[in-house]
Amino acid sequence: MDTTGILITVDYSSPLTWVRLAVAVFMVLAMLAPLLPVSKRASLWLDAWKRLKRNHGAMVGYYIVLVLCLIASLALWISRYTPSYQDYDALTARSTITKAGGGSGWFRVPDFTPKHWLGVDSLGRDIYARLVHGSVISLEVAVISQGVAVVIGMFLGLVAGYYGGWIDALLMGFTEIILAFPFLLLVMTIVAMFGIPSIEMIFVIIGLVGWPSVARVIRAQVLSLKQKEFVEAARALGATDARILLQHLTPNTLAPIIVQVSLGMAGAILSEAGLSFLGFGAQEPTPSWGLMVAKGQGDLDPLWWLSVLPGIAIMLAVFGFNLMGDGLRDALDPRMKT
Amino acid sequence: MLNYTIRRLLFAIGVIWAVYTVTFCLAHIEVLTPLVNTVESWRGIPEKEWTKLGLADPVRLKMGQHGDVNTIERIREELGLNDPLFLNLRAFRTGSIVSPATWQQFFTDQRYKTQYFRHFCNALFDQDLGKTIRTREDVAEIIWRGAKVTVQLAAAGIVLAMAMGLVLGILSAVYQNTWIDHFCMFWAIVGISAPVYLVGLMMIMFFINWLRLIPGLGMEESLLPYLTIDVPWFLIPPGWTIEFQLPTYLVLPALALGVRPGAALARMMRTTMLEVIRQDYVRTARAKGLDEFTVIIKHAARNALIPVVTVLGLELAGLLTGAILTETVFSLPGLGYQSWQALKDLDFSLIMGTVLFVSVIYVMANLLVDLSYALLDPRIRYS
Repeated sequence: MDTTGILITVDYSSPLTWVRLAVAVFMVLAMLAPLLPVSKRASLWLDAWKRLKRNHGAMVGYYIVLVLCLIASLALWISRYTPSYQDYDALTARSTITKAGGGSGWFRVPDFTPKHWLGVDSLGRDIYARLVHGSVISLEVAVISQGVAVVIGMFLGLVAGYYGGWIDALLMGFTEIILAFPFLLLVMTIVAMFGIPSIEMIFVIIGLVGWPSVARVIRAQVLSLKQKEFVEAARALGATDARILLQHLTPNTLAPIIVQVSLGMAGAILSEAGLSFLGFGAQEPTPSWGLMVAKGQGDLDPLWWLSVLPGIAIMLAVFGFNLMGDGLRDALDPRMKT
Repeated sequence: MLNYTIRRLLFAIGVIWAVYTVTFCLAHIEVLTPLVNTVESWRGIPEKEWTKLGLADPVRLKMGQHGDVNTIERIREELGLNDPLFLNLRAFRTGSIVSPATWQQFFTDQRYKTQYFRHFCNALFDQDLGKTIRTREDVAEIIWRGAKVTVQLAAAGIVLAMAMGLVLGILSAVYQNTWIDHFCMFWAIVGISAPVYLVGLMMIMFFINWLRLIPGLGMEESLLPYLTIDVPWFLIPPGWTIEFQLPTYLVLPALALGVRPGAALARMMRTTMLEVIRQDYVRTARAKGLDEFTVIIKHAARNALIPVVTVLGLELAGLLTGAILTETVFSLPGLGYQSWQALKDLDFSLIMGTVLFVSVIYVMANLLVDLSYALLDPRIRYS
């Protein structure tokens, strides 16, 4: 049998490979971080880290996210097949199994064959490889969409909160308008009307629609901060508006941004999966978890794991980010702790 | 209060108008495309070629790429797609700019001969949202049909969510930091994280495929669409018969839909309950010798409900979004399923109708929540 193109060959001459490996090493180091002693020096971030370490739920979230990053960066090394490779033999074997016990109406375990140990989907592609490579898409959507949302939301939130008046009214009115659309419906409409764009563009669109929540959080923070004495002091020293905004206000909004982003990442993963599930996100053969759930729907009766496993993967990823976000909120803002 | 109400109402109307305009622009983006240069590169097709292919042109989609040119032109004329989008300057072509008749004609043209104002005025004055491109059905009628299903679904979902959220929230607040609290909050976070369609598919797998409790999916296919429940004779006056019709096709979708808002409500309820439980009036109630159940339910939970009501309004948006996914999984012909179909078919008028309808409901719900917040809690006053 000709095996070229089946097994993943890692291109060590590509810089991207080394970036992936470096990320993996960094993730392993980050896993060990909670074991390190925290220095006695007190600061906002060290105190927050101490509180985070004491919170078991947050640590579970932290490790789920780290493992997800590790899987994503090592995807090339831990799966044998490329996510779009179709194994015709396995597909034939699967269809005989399906015919024999198809629609039996009772629980069936996945067929663990040594070649494909979670089986293959209806096009003969390895489920395990697709699951592993799907984590890359999910992390990309989390990072890119939240990156876009933070850049826009931070700028508009700072400006609206700091200047107030008609600028504030205008920007917040704009925010209201975007929030008046159901999120998924708006993204779907944009995607459908512009023609289904590349997957990266969908990440950006999710960010472009998702910035209002970031802007609101930052505006609220700036509104309370700009009354504080240190801003007045800076202004008395002759600091320009730009300097006050960038040097004095921005660092103080970092804590709520971090919380908002980690919760927003959970939301972004969920939105991308939902979009792909409805056919308005990733297109075949992109190994997106939402798409895998949608494609596995038809085989639900005998081969339930085709759609349930990627669904559980989505749930775990979102669960990790949610737990971490909750923990960060408790750690960074002790007043809000319940 | 009245001043505040009027201000909020005007703002809501402005938001709805803006939403309408944005939706209109999105729906006609292929006409506006020359304004947006980046778009062509997304498709990898030059702009001219794209127009020739008519990829986003609904009439082309209906008639096919090689449809008869004359027929296509006739359909476009019938649907009014050849009229200008926003501004019709036809009156000035022949008339004089100083004559009042020209201006009268100009304003009439805006009303009847531009796509935006015609659609806007028809929607506003006649509740007429146009006809679908594909089937020439009345959009308002389709939306009405779908809304009936979605309202049932959402109502059932919100009831389940409230029941789940309140019980879990109160339990975990009363038994704070015990295993009950941890258990409830763990499941609340799982509920927030689980995608609607995963819950739905697992329910289908479990209750329909394995246990065969419910015959099938959708509204039409199920053999037992309604489960009729007779109210027993000893509960009602003699000579009466009352029977409930429990729509069985709604049970699983409502459960799937209710999980996420329910979990969110549980977390919110826990937070507010923890605040309320420490209040003086709760201590007073205990000191009076009331039993714990009365204290928790009557004195604490009632007061804790006020902030939760606001979350309920916000959850409505999530519910409508969730309805798209739920109705797709369970093939229920509701609003969400319709808007999904409309987007797949690129059916302009139906997309505009559904997006507009859903946004109006959402804005109105938020308005009502804001106002009821002020009514429920007399301490809140708006100046």
